[in-house]
Amino acid sequence: MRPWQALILVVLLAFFAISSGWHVLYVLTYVMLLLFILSWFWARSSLHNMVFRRASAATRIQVGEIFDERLMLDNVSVMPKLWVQIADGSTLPGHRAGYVASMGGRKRATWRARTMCKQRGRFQLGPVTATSGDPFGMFRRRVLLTTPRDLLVLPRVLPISNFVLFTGGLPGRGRISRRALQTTTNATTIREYNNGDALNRIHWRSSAHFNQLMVKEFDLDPAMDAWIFLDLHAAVQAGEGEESTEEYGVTIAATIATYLLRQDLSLGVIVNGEHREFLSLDRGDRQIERVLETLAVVQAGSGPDLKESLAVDAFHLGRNTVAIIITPSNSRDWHDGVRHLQRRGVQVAVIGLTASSFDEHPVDEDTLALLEGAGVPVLRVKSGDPLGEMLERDPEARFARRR
Amino acid sequence: MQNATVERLSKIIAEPKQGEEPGKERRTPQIGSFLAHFRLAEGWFSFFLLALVVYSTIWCVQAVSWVSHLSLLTPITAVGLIFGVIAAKQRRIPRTLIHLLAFVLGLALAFWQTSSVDYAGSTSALINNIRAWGQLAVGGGTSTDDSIFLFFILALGFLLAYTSTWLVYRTRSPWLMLLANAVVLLINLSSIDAGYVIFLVIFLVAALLLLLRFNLYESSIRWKRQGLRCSDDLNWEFMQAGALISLGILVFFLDTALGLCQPASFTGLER
Repeated sequence: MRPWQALILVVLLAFFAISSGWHVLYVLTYVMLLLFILSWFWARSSLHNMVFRRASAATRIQVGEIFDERLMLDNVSVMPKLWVQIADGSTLPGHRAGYVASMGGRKRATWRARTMCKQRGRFQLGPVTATSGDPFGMFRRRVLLTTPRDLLVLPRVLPISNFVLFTGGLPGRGRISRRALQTTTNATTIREYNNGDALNRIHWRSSAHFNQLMVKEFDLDPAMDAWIFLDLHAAVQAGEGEESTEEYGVTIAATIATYLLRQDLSLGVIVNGEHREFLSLDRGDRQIERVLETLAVVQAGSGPDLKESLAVDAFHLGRNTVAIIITPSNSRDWHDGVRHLQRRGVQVAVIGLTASSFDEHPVDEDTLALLEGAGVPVLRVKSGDPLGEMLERDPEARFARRR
Repeated sequence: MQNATVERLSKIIAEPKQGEEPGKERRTPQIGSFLAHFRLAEGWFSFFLLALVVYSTIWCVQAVSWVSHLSLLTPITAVGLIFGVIAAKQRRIPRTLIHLLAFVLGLALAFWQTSSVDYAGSTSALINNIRAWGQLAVGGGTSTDDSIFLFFILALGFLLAYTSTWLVYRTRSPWLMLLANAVVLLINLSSIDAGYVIFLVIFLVAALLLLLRFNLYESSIRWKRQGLRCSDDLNWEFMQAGALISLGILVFFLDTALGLCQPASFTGLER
């Protein structure tokens, strides 16, 4: 019953009571009025003195991990709360942090929400609203408890211990030592101090050991930059949800990028999806974070296609550079871009996602074979393939398997 | 509370224990499915409260004793309540047809009962009387035939029970049901001694508890739809608090209604 309906009933009862003068009707009017007022006060006071807290360990999490948060609702007043509905407006798929609590005075309700993260992206936790009302369902009240905050679900990174796309290993990763004049991250040996050497190069422990000043010598960094081209052009994507070329592509890119960055290589990422995403070359843990953050939110879209992307970004790539192209495209129009890179001394490898396997369509023409013929290492990935194993497998073994 | 919930959930999702008798395993679901036919989603307690509301009205009608043989109202109301629950819960027969069925069943039951008690089972005598009453009504005369009045009261008793159940379990409007019963109750209460106000007390207690129970049921459905979990003791505390409120209001009612033991003054509706 709506409050206005109850009010009309009270007025009608009062009217009949006055016009008939019958005592029973008077009493019924009082009862209804009392019920009405009591319900109103109940609903008004039901959300007073409530404190809500949500304690989650992380603001970022990876696909495949469980997002676990503990939620607490404190009733700091002495009055009990018959029912308080906590509704959580989180956008994280499958995350149900809502609860309906019945609480005594000065009591606390705690509950946990555990969600397996299956989808990458930026999601919203909250807003959290509390709703309560009277026991007869006449009045209802709602208050905002917390404002929303962001949760970033990073793409899945597969634990690979090896990634050999090029026969003979990655270029620029040889054992040749090249001395650096400036300080680098690779301190390789020590030598005697010469006049003019910077004092900050002195290695004090060795100096104490040899009883003469010794200085550190540095090597140049491994001269290799890696670029990952992730093709998320909507026109070439296939499949849906987790079993889509988009998600496979992102997972492969995230895995390779993390692996290469942990090998202390410089890495940049270019994604042509809804928007063109360009992450310039850098190395280290901070770059891993940046790459994963970028890959967490990229979406397939009608941005530039792979051909255009290769043409636009080719000038970033010079000698001693590796370009890894991840694409589900079966078109030949971007092959010229690859050949152009090869002519410029860029080592190019292609990870081809077989789009037809994601849509369960008949296999299209294998255009990647043309690139293989031109000496470009190609790794083909189908829907359902074990990605970690595929990336770790030696290229010779892959080639033998295909034969 | 948390542990209890987890424990209960694990019990629900756990596989049946090994070593249990195979026959027992097979029998339990069968009994469960058999009992499921008699399950009322709103709970049988809500039906008990609804019956109490309707019967407090019917008992009041019987107390007024408009005609003799009004004790027949008790079984007819029971049939009306049961038929109402079945009609409200079934989804195969269209709404209009089921109302028509209820109407015909109510008239048939009332006709059968009236002919049994007033005409020793002679249906033709009752038909003749109804025909005569119809002619008299059209001609502008008055009839003093109690059997016609009994027939109408029985039919209306059935229809009141049927409508009340329908309003609660199908159209989800318990307030409308209470309003309909309250009108009948008050009309009858105005024609008897003030001591019979006990029917109003029963009506109010049952009505408040029914509203409470129904509101809790509707809320729990909404919470389930929204994927919200509920604390284990919610139902119990809800009903406990509601019962306390109802009792409080009744104490207030009885306190205010101490002066009720006086003759009925609602003379406009007297027989």
